[in-house]
Amino acid sequence: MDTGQLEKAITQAVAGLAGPDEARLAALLARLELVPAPRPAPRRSFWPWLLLAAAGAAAAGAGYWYAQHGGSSVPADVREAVVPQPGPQVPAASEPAGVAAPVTPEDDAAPAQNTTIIYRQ
Amino acid sequence: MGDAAELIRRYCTQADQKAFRAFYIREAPRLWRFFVARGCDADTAHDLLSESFLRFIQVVCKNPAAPLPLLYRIALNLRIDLHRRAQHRPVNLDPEVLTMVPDSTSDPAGERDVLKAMQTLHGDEQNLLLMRYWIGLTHAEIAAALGLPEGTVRRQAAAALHKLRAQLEP
Repeated sequence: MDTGQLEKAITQAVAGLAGPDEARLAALLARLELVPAPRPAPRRSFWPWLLLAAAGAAAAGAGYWYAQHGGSSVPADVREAVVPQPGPQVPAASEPAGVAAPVTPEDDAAPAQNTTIIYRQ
Repeated sequence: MGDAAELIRRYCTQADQKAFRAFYIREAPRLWRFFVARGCDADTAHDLLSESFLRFIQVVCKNPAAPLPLLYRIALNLRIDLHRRAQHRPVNLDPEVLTMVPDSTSDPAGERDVLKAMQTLHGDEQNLLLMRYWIGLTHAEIAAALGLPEGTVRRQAAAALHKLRAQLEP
C-alpha cells in the first residue's frame, strides 16, 4: 500500500464512523449563537488621527512657548528691558486718608530756584 | 482551510452570524469524528465538542487568520485534560461506533482495520495523522496547533504513517 492509498484509507475510515447526534449539534449551535457577536471593527478614518496629531502639536507648541517665557505672557527680553518702577506714594499713616489740602493756583506754578515755598496752613 | 479563515474573518469583522454558522456546520461533525477516532465515546465526543466550540468562540477573534489550528489546539488540550482526569485510563474506540463502520472486505485495508491499526499508535501520532489526513491541515497548521516546529511535525507524521503501514501489511 503506497502512501496515497494509506492517506485515503485513513480519511475513509474516519468518514465511515457513525455521525454525531444532529439534535445535539443543533442545540450547541443555538447555544453558540447566544454568545454576543464581536463588534464590527470601526472604519479606520484618516481625519480623526490628523486632528488628534494637530491638537497634540499645538499643545506641545503652547507648552514650549510657556516654558520659554517663564510662565509669563510677556516675552523674556521685554521683561528684562523694563525697569521696575516704584509704586504710588502711600500717604503716611499719620495723615488722614482721603483728606487733601485745597489746591491753589500757586500750587500749580513751578517753584523758582532758591525760592522758599510757604504753604498756607 | 482558506474558507474557514474567510468565514471566521467575516464573523469577527462584520459580526456575521451566518458565516459562523457555516463554519460550525462544516467543522463540528469533523471535530466530533476526530474525537471518536481518538477513542472517545459518542457522549464524551459531544461534551468535548461543546466545550471546544464554547472556548473557541471566546478567543477566535484575537487571531481570526488561523481558526482551525486554534480549534484543534483547544480540542486536544481538552481531551488531554479529560484523559488526565480519568487517571490515564486507556481509551479504545467505542464498540458502538465501530459497529457503524461498514466491514469492507473488498478493500485490502478495510476501514475497520485502519482504525484499529491507528489505535496501536501513540496518541500524538494519531493526532498527527488525523489532523493531516482527516482534517486536511498543513504541516505548518499542525505545528501551530501542537506548538511544535514544523520540521518535527513532518518527521513525526512520516514516522507515524510508516508505523501504520507496517501494522496494516501482513
